[in-house]
Parts: sequence; C-alpha cells; structure tokens
Amino acid sequence: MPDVDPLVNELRAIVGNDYVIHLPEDLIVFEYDGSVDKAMPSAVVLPGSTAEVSEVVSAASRAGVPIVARGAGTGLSGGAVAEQGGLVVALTRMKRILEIDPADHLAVVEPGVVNLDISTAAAEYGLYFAPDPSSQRACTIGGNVAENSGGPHCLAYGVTTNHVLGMEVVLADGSIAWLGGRTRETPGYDLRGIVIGSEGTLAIATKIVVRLLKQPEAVKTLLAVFKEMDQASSAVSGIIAAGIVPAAIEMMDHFCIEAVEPAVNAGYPKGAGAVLLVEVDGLSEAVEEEASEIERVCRSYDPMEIRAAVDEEERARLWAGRKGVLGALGRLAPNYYLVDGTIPRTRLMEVLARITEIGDKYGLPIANLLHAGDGNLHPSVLFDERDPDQLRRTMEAGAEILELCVEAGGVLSGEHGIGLEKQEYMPLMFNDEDMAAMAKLAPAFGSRGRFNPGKIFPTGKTRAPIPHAGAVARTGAGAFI
Amino acid sequence: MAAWGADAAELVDAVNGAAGGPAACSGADAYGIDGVTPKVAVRPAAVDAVSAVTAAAHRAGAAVTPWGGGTRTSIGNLPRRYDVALDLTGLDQIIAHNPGDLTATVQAGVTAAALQRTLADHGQFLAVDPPLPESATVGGALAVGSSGPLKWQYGSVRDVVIGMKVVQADGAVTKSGGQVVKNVSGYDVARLHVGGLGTLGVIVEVSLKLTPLPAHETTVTASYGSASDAIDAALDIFGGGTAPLALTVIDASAAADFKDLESGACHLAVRFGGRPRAVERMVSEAQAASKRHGCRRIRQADGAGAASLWRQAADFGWDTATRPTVGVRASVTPASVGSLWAALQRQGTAPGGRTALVGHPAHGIVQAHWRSDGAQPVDEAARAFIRSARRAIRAAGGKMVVEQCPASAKAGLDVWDDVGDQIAVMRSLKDQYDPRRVLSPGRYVGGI
Amino acid sequence: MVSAPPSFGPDFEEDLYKCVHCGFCLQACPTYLETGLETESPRGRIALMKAVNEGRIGPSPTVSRHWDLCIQCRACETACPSGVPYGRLIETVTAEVERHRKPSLLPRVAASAILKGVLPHQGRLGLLTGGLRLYQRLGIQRAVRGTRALRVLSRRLADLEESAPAVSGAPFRAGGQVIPARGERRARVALLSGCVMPLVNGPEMRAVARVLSRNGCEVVVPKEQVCCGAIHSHVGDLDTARKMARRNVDVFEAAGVDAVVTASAGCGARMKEYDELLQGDEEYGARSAGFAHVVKDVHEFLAELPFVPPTGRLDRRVTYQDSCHLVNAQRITEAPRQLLRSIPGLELVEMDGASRCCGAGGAYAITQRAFSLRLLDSKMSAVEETDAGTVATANPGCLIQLQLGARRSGKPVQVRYITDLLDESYGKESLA
Repeated sequence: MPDVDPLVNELRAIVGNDYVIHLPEDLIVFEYDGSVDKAMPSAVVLPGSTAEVSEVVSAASRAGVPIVARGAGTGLSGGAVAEQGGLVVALTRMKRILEIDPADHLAVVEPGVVNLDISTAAAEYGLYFAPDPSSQRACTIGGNVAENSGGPHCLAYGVTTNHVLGMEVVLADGSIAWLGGRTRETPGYDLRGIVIGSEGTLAIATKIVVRLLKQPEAVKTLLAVFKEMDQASSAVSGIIAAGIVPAAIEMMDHFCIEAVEPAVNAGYPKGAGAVLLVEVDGLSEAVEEEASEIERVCRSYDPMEIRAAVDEEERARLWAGRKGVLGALGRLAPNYYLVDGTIPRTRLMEVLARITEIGDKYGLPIANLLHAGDGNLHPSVLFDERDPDQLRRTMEAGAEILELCVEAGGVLSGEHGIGLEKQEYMPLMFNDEDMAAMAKLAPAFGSRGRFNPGKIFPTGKTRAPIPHAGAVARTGAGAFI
Repeated sequence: MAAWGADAAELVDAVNGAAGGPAACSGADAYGIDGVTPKVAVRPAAVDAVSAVTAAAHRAGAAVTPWGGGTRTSIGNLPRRYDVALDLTGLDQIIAHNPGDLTATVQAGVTAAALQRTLADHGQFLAVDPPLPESATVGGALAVGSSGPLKWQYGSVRDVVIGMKVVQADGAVTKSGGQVVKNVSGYDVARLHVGGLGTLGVIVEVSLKLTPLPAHETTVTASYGSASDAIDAALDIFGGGTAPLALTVIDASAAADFKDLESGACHLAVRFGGRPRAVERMVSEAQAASKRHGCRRIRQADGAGAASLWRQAADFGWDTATRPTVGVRASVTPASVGSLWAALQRQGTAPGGRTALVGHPAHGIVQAHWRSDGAQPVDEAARAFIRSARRAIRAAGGKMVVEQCPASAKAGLDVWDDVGDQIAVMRSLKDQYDPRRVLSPGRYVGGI
Repeated sequence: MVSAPPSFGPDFEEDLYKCVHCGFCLQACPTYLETGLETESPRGRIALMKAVNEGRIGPSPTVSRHWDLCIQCRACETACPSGVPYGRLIETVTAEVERHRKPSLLPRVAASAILKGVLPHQGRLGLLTGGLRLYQRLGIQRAVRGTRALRVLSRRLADLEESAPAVSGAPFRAGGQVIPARGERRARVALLSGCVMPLVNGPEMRAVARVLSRNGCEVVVPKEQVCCGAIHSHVGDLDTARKMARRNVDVFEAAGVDAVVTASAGCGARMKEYDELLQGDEEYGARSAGFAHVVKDVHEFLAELPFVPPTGRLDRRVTYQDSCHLVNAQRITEAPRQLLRSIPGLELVEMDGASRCCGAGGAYAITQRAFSLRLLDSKMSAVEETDAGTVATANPGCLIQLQLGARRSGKPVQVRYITDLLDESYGKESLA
C-alpha cells in the first residue's frame, strides 16, 4: 500500500480537514458497500465541488494512488470497495439539485443526489425520474450512473443509460470534460453511454443531466396468485404475447411469500406457489383496457386469485410486500446468497425448474424473486454461514445458477454489475478477444490502474472463493435449519 | 504507417484471397464518397470473410470504409484515404427473432424494411425509422446513429441495441452485451459503434430490443399560418398528458415537396398509437391543442395515407426528389426549437436558393435544408449557409452536423460540431481500436 | 482510556449481525444528512460496533465520538429492511463505553449529578426549576441576555442558559390526585407526570388532564411514581433506569387503571419497552411485558378512544414536528395529525422533513451542542418555509428545543403541545 501521508496533507489543503478521513478506526466504515466484499482504503476524501474533485484526482494521480469513487455504498457487487486500497472519493457531499427544467423535461444534479430526491423535487412539475432501484431511497444518482442501475419499472421505462442525456466528468488526469449534453444528439462517440455502467473505472461524474418523464395519469396494480410457478411463468409470456409491455411484472415464489407475508401483511395468500405483481400505467383509458386484458390472460392459467388494488393504500401494500422480500428472507434462514442473472423471458419456466433442481442437488432451498417481465432473476440461496459445508454448497449452487443463465442465452448480471463479485465468471460470456476489446477503454480514458482497479475482469482467482466472494448477506435469526 | 502502395489489381487479389473466393465486386465506382472512388469494392457473405478482408487491409495499411445501403454516405468529412469499400449487404440473415422475448438478432446487412416486414408478421417492430428503408441496412442505420421522426419512448437509436458483434480494425471478431433486454455484464462497448460511423469497428451483427406494434394508429395533421404556432402546439402536446409516436413540424417550403400537404402553410403532424379508446382521447387532446394555437385546418389520416406521410417525413432530404444542396441537422432542447427555427428561417431568405425546415420538437431535432437555384457559385453559397446555420444553432445552445454538402465545398470544413473537451478521449479511442487508421480515416469528428 | 475490552453479550451480537450494510438507513439519519459522512451514519456506527466486537479496534475516543454524535432518534429503524434494533444496540454500546470512561470532564460530572441526584427526586428538580422560573420572572434573564455578560464569563454556562426552557407556570405535582371524568366515565387512566414536563410545563400538564377528563376519562396521578428513566438509558446509565422502571411498574400496577397515559413521547417510548430493559429480571421480567401493553401515548390513546371532536375555533396555521420517540420508536404518525385536523379553523401544513429530528435528543442538546444547533437551524428553516405561526409537538424535549430555535431565528413562531391546542379549543366551546 502506498504511503498516503503526504497525500493526506495535500487533500486537506484542497477540501479542508473535516473532509479527509485517514484514521484506521474511521476508515473501517468505508471498507464495505452493500455487498459482502470488504477492503480497507488508505484514505477517504469528500470533495464538495467539481473543482475539488479535479484537484483531488490530480493529487492522487501525482502520488500514484488509485481512486475508488463512492456514492451511498449501497451497491451489490463490490463496486465501491477499494480492493487494492487507495483513495476513496466519496461524493455524498455533492448533493445539490442544480436545476429542474420543466420545459425541456430534464434536471441537472450533482452525483451525491439520492435517486428518489430527484422525483420528489420534480413532482411539482408533474415529472419524475424513471429508474427505480429498490435502494432508491438511499442510493445516489452517481452510483446509478456507475452501475447503470435498473429497477422494477425498467421493463417499460428502461435503465439509467436511457435516462441520462449528458454529464460532466473528471478524468483520471484531473481534467474536466462534458460528455453528451442537454440535447438528444451530440456529435462524436457516445462517451456518455460508455461511462454509464463502467463501474467507476473510466471517469467520475460530477454533474449529471437526467431526463424526466411525465407522471402517468393513471396506475393500476394487479395481484395474480397461482398454485405453481409454471403457471405464473406462462402468464408472464402470455401477457407479452398479447402485445402488452406493462410498467412492471414482478414474480415471487412460495418461499418469498412465506417470508414476507407475516412481516408486511401485503395480502399475498397463504399456500400460494407464486404471485405476480403486474403494474400498468399511462392514460386512464389504456390502463383500464390493458388491466382487463392482463386479467383475462392470467385467468387462462387458472389462478387461485386475481385482483386489482382498489386504492393507493392497497397498491402501496402490494409493493411493500415485493420490496420487503429480501429483508424478510431472514425469517427463513440466517443468510441468503442472491444471484442476479438475466435470461430470455421465454425460458423462465425451464430455468426456474432447473434452479429448483440445483437447490435439491445441494440440499439448500432457493427462494425466487424475479423482475419477471425482463427475465431478470434473483434466485436467493438460503443457508447458514456458520456451517462451512453449507457455505461451500451455497457458493457452488450460485456458480451453477450463473452457468445455467448463460447457457440459457442469458447473462451474468442484469442490474447489479460485475464488480468483484462476478469478475471470475466473465469468461462464461466473453472470450479473451471480447475482453481484450473491452479492456482498451480504460487506457483510452487514461484511467487504467487509476480508477477502481481490479474490477470487472477476471484476475485468475479461484472462482467462488470462500468465504470472501459472493453477495452473502446475513439476515435475522431463526431458521429453517 | 505505410499507405496502400500496390495497384488495384494486387489489392483485388489480396481481398479475394482473404474472402476465400471471388468476393470483390466490379464497379468500385458505385461506392464513391465525396467524389473519391475506392480501388476495390468487396461484398463478403459471411462474418469470417469480413474479418479476413479487414485483416488483409490492416496488414497492408489500406483504408476500409464499411458500406451498408449507401443511403447516407454523404455524412462525414472528406475521406483522407479510401481503398476498399466493404459492402455488408451480403450479410443479410435474420439470425433469430424471438417474439416472446421481444428480441431479434440480425446481421448488419439486413435492410430496415426487410426486418420490419418479418417483425410485423408477429405484431412487432424495431423502433428505428431510417430514410429509404428498402435500401438502408440495420448496420448502416446504427453506424449513423441519428433517429427519424419516430419517438418511441426515448427516440434514440442507441437504446434499441442489446448486443453487438464487431469486426475490429485488425480483423478480430468480438462481441459485447447479450440477447436479453436487461444486462450490465461488462462494458457496453456497442455504444462506441452506434453513431461511430464505422470508424472504430465494423458492425456485423446486432441483437435488438423490439416493441409490440400498437393496436391502433392514427395521424392528426394541422396546418398553420406560421411555423411558430405549429411549434408551440407541438410543445404543448409534448408537455401534455398524451404520448405521441411522432411529432413533426414541416414548414411551408418543405411542405411543397410533400404529396398531400397543402402548400403555403406550415404543418404539424402528430402520430398516435395504442388502444383505440386511448388513441381517441389523444387525438381529441391534440386537436384541442392545435386549435388553441390557431391552426387553420385539421385532418386525420389512417392506414396508407398516414404511412405515406411518415415515409416522406423520414425520407425527407434523402430521396432524389428532395435531396438538398446542403443539409444540416441540428439538435437543441425542445424549448429552444422555436427560437432556432425563427433564426434559420430569417437566414434562409438569402438569395441563391431555397431553405426548407423539418423538425421534431419533442426530440429537439431540426433539419435545415438549402437547395441552390444554381444562379450563384454553389460552394460559396453553401459555405455561407453552413456558417449562418452554425451561428444560429450555437446561439440556441445546440449542436449540428452537416449531413449533405457538395464535396467541393467540404475542403477545409469540419462537418461535425466541436465536441469540446471530449476530443482527447475520442482520439485515444481511435488510437486504441484502430491505431493503423484502417477504418474510414479522416471522416469522423476532429478528423478522426 | 479504555482498560478492558468491552463485553456486549450474545444477544447484542445476534442483533448486531442482523445488519447487512445495505445502506437503506443513511437517508433516515439526521447526522448523516447533515454531514454526508458514513462515520456519522447508523450503518457506520454499527460497523464500528462490529469492529470493536471482533476486537479489530478498541472503543477509543475516536470511535466513541461517532456513537456520541448519534441522537438516538431511531429513524434508522423505520428504514431498516432487516429489522436491526438499532436503539437497543446504541444504548448497550453507550452504556458500555460510559462504564469505561473516566468521568474527568466537568460537564460529565454536572450531567451525572443532575441525572443521578436530581431527576429521580421531584423535590430537588422542583427546586432547580423553581429557581429558573424566578430567574426568568424577575427579569434577570432579560438583563443577562442583554449584556451578554454570561458569555464573557463562560461559554458553556452561557450555552446552558440559552437552552434553558421557559418555565410556563406553577408546576404540576403528582400528589395522588384524581381528576373525575366529565360526563359518562369511559375509562380510568393513570397519568405519568414525568420529570421535566410537570415542572417546566405545569399548566400544559394540567391541560392534558383536562383533555382526558373532557373525553370521559377518570385521571389518577399516583404520588409514588418516578421519572421513566429514558434520559438515563439514553446516556448509558442503565442501572438507574432499571431501578426507576421497577418502581413505576409497582406504582402503576397498583393504580388499577385501563391505561397508563404519557404526555411525553420520550417517556412513552421508554415505558413501552420496559420489558426489554428488565429482560432477565426474575421478578419484573414477565410483569413488565404486561405493563408495556397498557402504556399509551396520549395522542394514540385519544385517537383510539375515540376522542370527542372539539368545536371551539382556533384560527391558526400550524405545522407539526414529529417527535422521534413518537414516529420512530412508537410508530405513531397519524394520531397527532388527526387531533390537530379536528380543531375547527386550524390549518395543518406539512413541513419538509417533518419526521427529521430537531436535534433535541434528551441530553444531546447539551452534550453535542454545536451539532444539535445545526440540526435545529435546518429544522427552523423548514418551519419558516411553511409560513406557519405555530409549531405543534408531542414531546417536551422537542418543545424546549423548538422554543430555542424560535428564539434563535427571531421569528414570532409559537411552539405548542397538541394537547394544549386541543384544550384551548375545548375551552372555547364552554364560552360559546
């Protein structure tokens, strides 16, 4: 680890003493994000402006210290973990909404602005920011840009990259550049699109121009309950085949229902094998028609129950169930290992069946929670990390699920990023030449080895290292075991 | 690096050898760009052959320009070197259409029209509407990157790509993304190639996100005495509760080139799609907005009539009938369209030609076309038009591209707007991906 | 500073490792929002607890200052999907640190003297506030504030003087009195008089009793009751807190009532969790669990009763500050608003971040004064934006803090208890 003491002094001169953190006791709170990977940074700095970010980056560059940019630290793939030590640049102080332009339907915000705060501020103009990761009350727009975050409603409305028009960035040499802008088309390569989802390896965004959408005039949320997962999977395909792209289609299996219902009272019936939560929005006429069409489709798969939320309160309750699932899994097991693969949605039924087989093979229950509309799976292996054998089996099951996703024509990560968590799995999807082409981006941006080194690409570590890798989350006590 | 030194015959042999058979086409003349003719044109039928040809050119230090339907090759600076035209229309396979997944994987040389026909059989479409779709290829439309009138959700061509296979400048075949609609595995390298004009790699295969065809469609056309009223009405609709599929303003001068549009008036055409009752409601809201802004006449068209109007709007300036001497494409924010339009109209009254404006206010796109009446020296007048357009667009806070221009007027002209501080990274991308300047050298921003 | 490594116990550990560091709590935390620093966040504080628990670091002053800066508002608990009982964690840790800390600093001595020597004894506290009331009544306070003489003598003393609550009238005494129900008797309740509120806000406490009586409640005020112990557990003196809890369980059980009503959100929160405080106590463990169920916040109690809507008109624009101990610890948000909206003429306007802590936090306003004032000033600007002339609150700590905020801002903002406003409205009916 490089000696950072001279750098610390330089940083203090740039941002002031209060915003440079270097005591080991304080650095401990920057060793994690929302994933399980941990590593201690050498120092943390919290710049308050683009100019300060630029000076900080220049100083670190001169000192040869790598930089890891960080937002709220809610990421699930280790993107904000300083794997190789170095300087963490936390952007949480840069949290001003600089402008909301209702005429052009856009907002200009600093990277530390919390996702939901944009929609809150835009609400008075009848506008909102569409990407809605489940951490939207806490995660920052800068982090969303780094990970190209999605959310339940990206089925109809797309992910972060579809909603960012441009951004001001600081490059690894400390220079400042605008990528894209306020207009839809800008000449030259789409550097904006390259930086979004680059997991902090190419540039640090310091201002972001986001597109705002009009709030839909009407919203309708339906709950469809099935005896079997197969029926629910077929219903998803049926809805899409009917030419409807709802705002969201979420699916939960019986484990999820068992876990969340006592905690949230969402109204998911006991004994159900799967529930679908389908939301349509838009003009009231369209919403009514689509909702009844969806109901008709679901009925043809013999549901136990189907109903629409009658008011905003019931709608909120249905969603609270969906959003509370992960937290509530702790009622079934002390830990869960969450996988984030995406598959073509037509293969849901067969892949879900194979996931159950994998669970049986390793003797572990796997709870399935899906953004079913776009085939984004979140199988969660339930286990107890205090039992080393279970931990080993969990990791192997997780790896097998990822292999299964790729084999089914899918991908390693739908919305959480590769980071540290899945870097060793990259060869499942990409060959050496593919990855070599990707790896040319960092030198082109001048950021190789300087911004978030050691991420995305395989390092040759053994896959599923125990107990370090994997999104192992430890939840409450009381267990199935 | 060595420029191509050998004679044409030798290059033809090399390319034929690389392509594994007689792939080179006769008539390289048909592949001219800005008056520059390549030494050889080649039309491979497989990705491997594209790779081999590119690798051969790379070894030889020859300059290659990927070629799709050849519909918009006027976009770009003068070629610095141009040895091989790489015609990709031989890669014309629709590899997979997965209706249930709303995805398709196609080769780059499939024409837009052929793809749309296949998709329409399953009630789906690709939300990209390039001009001249019977000739324009999917790969070409992506390489150009600009959108047509269609404004489905985001209206950006780049947003429909979910995976891509590219032949690198050295012939390596690489892929990125995947075949699913939601994916953050690895860098989204396809972004470099959409709008990259084939200067960093040759697009050979793409996976695309599709959209269900609306159950019902209709188009409302309103005519106005002034363009500013038409634009105000358009922005009113943009800011309101409806979600049009397209929102296009056509000025009186451009309207003269449209069949079925009353001449001497400006027009606002609004395309709606969706469930019948919702469309009905959107139509009545659009009509109300049009009336609020003083429209003279409102018409509604469905089926063939509407299709013809939108075909003309997408083709405008690219088909032989409407091809201008100079075509400028400006991108501003929606709220700035009105002031830009007014400024362009003022300048358009200069002698020597006629200006026509077509715009998509919800995208902030304005196409300004100037057609010479042949009275003045064309180059001089063309440069004057570009200069004044550039001033007006800058004043409106926008960016522009000169899409059409006489080759003789291009010398010393950068058809692309300044990209600001980004240029350093863009140049080093070229250094990384095409260090030997094989792919369309000189034609991109800043002479890349 | 620290002699022995702390031992937190297995229950603590079980709670601690429920945290999966997802970060959902960050935006709920007032100190994080104010600083943007992970070190001043619930997740950060838990990470430090884990590190100490695992023996990676000791609970040095560097570490404990982050715990000290926690207001213990428990807003993080409402945001936590994993159900981490943060309030319990921070209380245990604070107690453990306090046990190891050498009481070398003057303010700690003073605080300890007040907590141990004064608060448990109503008489002594009465003497103190009586003096304060005289000081305010005789115009000495105005003179002192005018000359700034105190600030020259001692900054800390001046701070304390500045924060001192306005004593509103004769104290309310728990003397075993019974206030009869008006009209048909609907319930018999015991009123917790508390420690600070009856002395500083005697008239307002009498208003609480009147409002209960007006709603058909027979109100008893047991004489032997003591302070609920909240402030003691807040600063880590769990032993004294337990002593008081046991006493109160005895006293209120003997009163034979349908409910034990608290007018102070902080007291309500503490008493509802007596079972946790007395967990493992052979005699009181089980009894306290039953006791916790009969404790009701006065607003909650009135809303459930249900209360008689007042008809006396109060033409006021009012904004409501959620008390942390009501909204986070007791999860009560709607009842206070319902009461306010029931008053004819009263217009309730929501301020931005109504549930964000005002910075009072028990002793926090004294021990972390600078930071407390930062939070208070943000709060007062939110109040100002609503154009409300009155801030309503449900807790004496908030009332005192907001009154200080009003004085600091120089704006003519009144700070009132909800029950006080209700009482005023009921009072106007009888005139009409």
